[in-house]
Amino acid sequence: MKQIIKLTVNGIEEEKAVHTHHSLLEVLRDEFKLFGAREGCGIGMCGACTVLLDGQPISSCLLLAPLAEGKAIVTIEGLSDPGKLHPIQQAFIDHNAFQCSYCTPGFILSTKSLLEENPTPTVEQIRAYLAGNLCRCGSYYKIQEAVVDAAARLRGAK
Amino acid sequence: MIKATITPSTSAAALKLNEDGSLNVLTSSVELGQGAKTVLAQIAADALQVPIGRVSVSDPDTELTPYDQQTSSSRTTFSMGGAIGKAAADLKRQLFDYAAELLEASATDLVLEEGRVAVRGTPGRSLGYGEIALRSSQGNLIGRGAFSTRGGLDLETGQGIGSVHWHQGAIGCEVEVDMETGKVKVLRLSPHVFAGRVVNPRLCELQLEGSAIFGLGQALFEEMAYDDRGQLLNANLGDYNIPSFEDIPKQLNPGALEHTGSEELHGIGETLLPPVMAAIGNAVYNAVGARIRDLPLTAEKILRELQRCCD
Repeated sequence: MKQIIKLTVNGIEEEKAVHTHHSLLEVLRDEFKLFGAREGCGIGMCGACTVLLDGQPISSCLLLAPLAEGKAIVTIEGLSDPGKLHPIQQAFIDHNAFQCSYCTPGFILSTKSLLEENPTPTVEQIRAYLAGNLCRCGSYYKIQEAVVDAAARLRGAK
Repeated sequence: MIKATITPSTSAAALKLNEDGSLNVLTSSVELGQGAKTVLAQIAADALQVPIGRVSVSDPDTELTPYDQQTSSSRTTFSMGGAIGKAAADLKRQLFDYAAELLEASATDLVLEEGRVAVRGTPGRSLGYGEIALRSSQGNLIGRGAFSTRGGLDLETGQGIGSVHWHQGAIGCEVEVDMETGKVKVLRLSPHVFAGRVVNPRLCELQLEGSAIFGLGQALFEEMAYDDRGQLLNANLGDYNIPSFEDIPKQLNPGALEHTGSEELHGIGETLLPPVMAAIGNAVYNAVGARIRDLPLTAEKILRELQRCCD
């Protein structure tokens, strides 16, 4: 059964007719055509579906879409201003911090949340915070480099 | 670790030079994230002296793009790179033929210089590639090349050429084994591979790091569990664990050993994966004397072996 819900995605509120059993991930991809969030496992284990909900990283595959009403949803597509990459995105590019890039949007959004909570994370803190984002290609070392660099850029040290 | 690359094999490519001097690489190689598009663009840019920002690489489309046998076997840089080299030589010959006429010079006196064909030693006498294409009245200039290797093994005798060249790698490993729980922690991994001539060092590192991490998972926790009726029991990422940020060693020391002065491109994509599990198994044996020959090397297996041989 479909229900009309209002979702605020990347700053824009839109009404969508969704099945009440559909996840936020399905609605973002099928209705909003925002393909940055991906389904890697469907059970909240891999982090490929990470989006920010009121600033917090969540597994969008685990949240029923109607329960996201009234929250501010940010996807990777909404991270930067048009024509200008977010410093975290630029750091990932500069450090080649990806191979197939399936996990990359999830990593970038989790990194944003990490650096907001902790602008000067140690390597151990970075690894622990990002342990919920899996990278099958094994780009972890370059991702770590990118996060360390992004932290410096955001602190204005560079 | 010595690995073959599929032999015999063939890759073909076309290079389409446009009237604005930009270059399209037409190829059926597949970009998976390994960086095929980047490396093939580099090879084409280098061979034809076109700035890399003006080189684009096609997606594969068997309706339109020239033949490639497969994107696998660590062969793309070597085989498709070789095809691009041949296509570039073809295109260069056409550029020189047209330029020789337009510049009233001999083709043997011409050189490629940053997107222009110039008469050697006379900087004023040159033409941009785009202008040559325009004045050739051919629309575009297209160079084509195929790179194919011979060999293979006789199916009856097993004799012949198993691989046109061999990929070699080795990995060193240091582990820590908890004697009470049997849990293995990999402290250091040092994957090294023979790389011939490296086209893109960062992409090589990513391949080596990726292989090492994949192998670590295979060595320590990845296992497909079946019941007695052949049903897979753990087909989800909750029950089948792959390495996360917290499972990898503090540091990895990847190395791609180059053969200085060599022109030979060498695949490295898969080479480092198989020895990882053996290295970890050998390191566990070296640490605690437990010799386990089936993967994964779980804590339970190690504890059981420790109890068995040390009781």
